[in-house]
Amino acid sequence: MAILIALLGVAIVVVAVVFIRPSIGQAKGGRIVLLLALFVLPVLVFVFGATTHLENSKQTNFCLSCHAMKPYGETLKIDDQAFIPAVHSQNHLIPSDKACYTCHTTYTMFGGVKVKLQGLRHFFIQYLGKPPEQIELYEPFNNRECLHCHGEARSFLEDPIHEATLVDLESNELSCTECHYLFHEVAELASQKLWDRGEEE
Amino acid sequence: MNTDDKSARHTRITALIFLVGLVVQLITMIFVHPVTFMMHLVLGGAITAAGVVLYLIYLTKHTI
Repeated sequence: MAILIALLGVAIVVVAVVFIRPSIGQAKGGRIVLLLALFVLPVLVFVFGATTHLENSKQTNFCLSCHAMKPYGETLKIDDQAFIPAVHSQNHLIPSDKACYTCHTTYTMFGGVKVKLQGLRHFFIQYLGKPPEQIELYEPFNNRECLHCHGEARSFLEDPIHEATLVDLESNELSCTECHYLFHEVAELASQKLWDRGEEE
Repeated sequence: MNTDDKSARHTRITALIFLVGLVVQLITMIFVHPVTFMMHLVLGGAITAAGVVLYLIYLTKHTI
């Protein structure tokens, strides 16, 4: 981010110099300055900026900045260890600043063109339309999201049920959510006690 | 208006467009939010593309 801001600063200064002294293009080496100011630097800043924004969109606060997602973020605070997102978030089994992205790795902008278009659709629905009451995943939850952490863990491998179903779990024939089914239970939020780092009012 | 004046005017307009685009992109960097993401891609991208097109026109008109 610091590099990008520095690059932006340099680009603004160089372009401003060209704006103030457009005759610079006629001077010796002027064409190089023009090429830098009017092509290379702005294009570089745009591409670098876009990748930075894409990286920033993995942040939890980015996802939760949409009103419709706020209750789903609140479910991370449910004070019940049976709730999968809550237990992962509260015990820092996933990075808290990338809580959503850690388990939803192909959601919205992080997939192919189709998924990116879905992300764009979410944006327009948020600001120009009406988000649905009940938000659902486009596809069944992929076990890969669980197994990329749990798959090699001893506690997982030595569990007799996991041992017996490992092949089915790895091939997605059997979903992890068949047994571990308490997720973002938004409907239960009102009846649940929330844990907020012991800073509850 | 002679050729040098035209060239300087064209360069100045192109630089101004890029300046606006860079300032827009700088503003989008302040916040992590879907709106700033879209502002960067759509507004920043469109202004940068317009600047690039103007620069390419400048090259064809004033350097051949």
